[in-house]
Amino acid sequence: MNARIPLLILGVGALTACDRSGLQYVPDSIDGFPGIVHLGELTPVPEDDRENHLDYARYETLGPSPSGTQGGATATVKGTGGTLCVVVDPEAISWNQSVAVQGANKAYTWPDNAIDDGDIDMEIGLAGYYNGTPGVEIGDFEQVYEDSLGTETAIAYNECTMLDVNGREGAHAGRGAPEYCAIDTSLHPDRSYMVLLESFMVPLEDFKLSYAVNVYDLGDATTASGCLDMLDSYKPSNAGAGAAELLLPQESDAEGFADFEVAYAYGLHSMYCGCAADPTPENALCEKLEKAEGAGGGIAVDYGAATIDILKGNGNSAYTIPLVFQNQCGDYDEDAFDHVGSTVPTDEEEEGE
Amino acid sequence: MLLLLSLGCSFDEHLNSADIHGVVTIPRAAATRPVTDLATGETSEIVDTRNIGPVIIGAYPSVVQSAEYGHPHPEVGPVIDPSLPPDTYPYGGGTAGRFDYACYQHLVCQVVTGRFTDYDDLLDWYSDVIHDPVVDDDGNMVQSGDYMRQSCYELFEITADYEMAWISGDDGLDFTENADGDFEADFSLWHTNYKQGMSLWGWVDTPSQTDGSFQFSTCDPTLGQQNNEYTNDYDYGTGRWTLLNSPGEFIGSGDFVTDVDAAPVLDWEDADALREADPTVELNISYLVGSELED
Repeated sequence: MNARIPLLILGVGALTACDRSGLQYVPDSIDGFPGIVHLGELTPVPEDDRENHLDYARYETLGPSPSGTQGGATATVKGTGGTLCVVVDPEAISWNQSVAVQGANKAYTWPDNAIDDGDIDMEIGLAGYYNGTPGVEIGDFEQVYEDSLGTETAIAYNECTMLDVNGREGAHAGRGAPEYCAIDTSLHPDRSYMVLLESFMVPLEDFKLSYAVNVYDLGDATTASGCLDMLDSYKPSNAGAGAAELLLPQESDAEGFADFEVAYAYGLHSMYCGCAADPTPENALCEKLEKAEGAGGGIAVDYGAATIDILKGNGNSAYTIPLVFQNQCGDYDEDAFDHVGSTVPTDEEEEGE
Repeated sequence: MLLLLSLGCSFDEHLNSADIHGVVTIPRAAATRPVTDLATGETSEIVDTRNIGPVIIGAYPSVVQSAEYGHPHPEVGPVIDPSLPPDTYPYGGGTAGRFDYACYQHLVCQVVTGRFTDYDDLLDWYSDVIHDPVVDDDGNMVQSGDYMRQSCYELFEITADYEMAWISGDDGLDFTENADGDFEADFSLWHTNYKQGMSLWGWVDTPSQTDGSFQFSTCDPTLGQQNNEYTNDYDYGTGRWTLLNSPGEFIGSGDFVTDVDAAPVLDWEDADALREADPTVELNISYLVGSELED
């Protein structure tokens, strides 16, 4: 009799395991938001009209693609004979929470809202090499090369090659992060290039992936650095690597997202979330926020008006943004920092480790 | 049971790949180096196999006189991105000698396997011919083979010279002089995809010829294992990744390549026939790159 008890427990356990199907992650199509779409032709931003570059940008939203199929958007752009820089910025902003027992990074102790982010992977090649059907089926740029002995080799004619940390091709930016590529069109002026924006992941909160895409004419700039130089030309003073989010702002329809992108550009996002959750001077994360560098002149938090000023070195405000807990901020788990005895590591704890 | 087991060992998968063996011949000039007598300032030439760089050999669909590079070169596929070199899409390849790390940062990307008999042989080459005496990682000149052996044993935690791939011993050198005064070495291209009509083609990376310099374009000093012993922070260096796929990017004036007409064509019907014939392929590398500019 006793020998049957474990079997009974196992049987009941097996039955209860079946109550989780995972179907909530396989959404139905959403009216008005197709999972596969062709945007038509993109117009590059002329070199002499950079200040109005957002007039050329496309802000769009992809829905979930039919189950088992790859979703994404395509668009064409004509080769200029020079270099084009294509930038895509999917919603929203993503970061990893720092939960280290020792040496936790104060900028990252507040968690991200992981279900509001999407991810788009970009490829670009001559439209003639694209093997998908725009607006119907997502493909890639793989074609067969046949050498003089008839041996066939599949070649990816994707010209948008991103390097990983080891300098190898084939990398992509992570969730929520912008991707950009410089395309040398000198061999094929006036030919159509296909921009492929594969929806690697749609946000799990609503299955709608908002994004912005734009093309910049770099003239004869070299492909190696022209795109990065162009991005840097839009970078606010003293902003960090996250400033790329500011090039095409407010790609998410979440309220106040453009303000949050500013906080992200200055590496304040996690502290911003923590302070906005409880905007009082006693809040350790507000204290840390006030000690941040800002645009060279520090940060001023106005608790009455619920705003923060990102100050330049001369004391003038570079940005004033409302201090409001936003959708990009995740739910804080108090237990995450039980091991250090407070909701966030103190300066002493961080410095002493 | 034993009969069944023995039958299992006879199963032939008829794989479309084969190990190709052969002999590569390079001209005497590839082993010749100008040497300056430091006492008199006079320059003479020596012929020494230690001057021979790595020999890279590949199997390709065909070999052509390349308009892009100006010398014989395997056919290349389409140019997709003008900023990237064209690809030859080789069927396989190998080398006669490869880069190996000889225990000191001073020697990164300079030591090829099959060229040195022992530690003293290497130290003599650098002090007497290259005029660039070897120094250890602390900057001290290395004058004794035993001292160098101690450094290698300590670094790699080894106990015998045979564990150092670059030490060949008296009988293990790759190249020997033939009756014509040129140099020959055996080579093997392991597991090469076979296609009837494919050609073998190779090239010699000749080192820089100036006093105090012994550099190769085929080695990347930022690749390979890292050395972080104490305050060290450097890589051991190794052959570049695309030597077979984009050889033209690394071949320069003074290097030797196989001429178009000299590239042996393998014409066996399939890999089975090639394996059965087990030929010793003769590959001649005698075309001096840069010579076309003198015409």
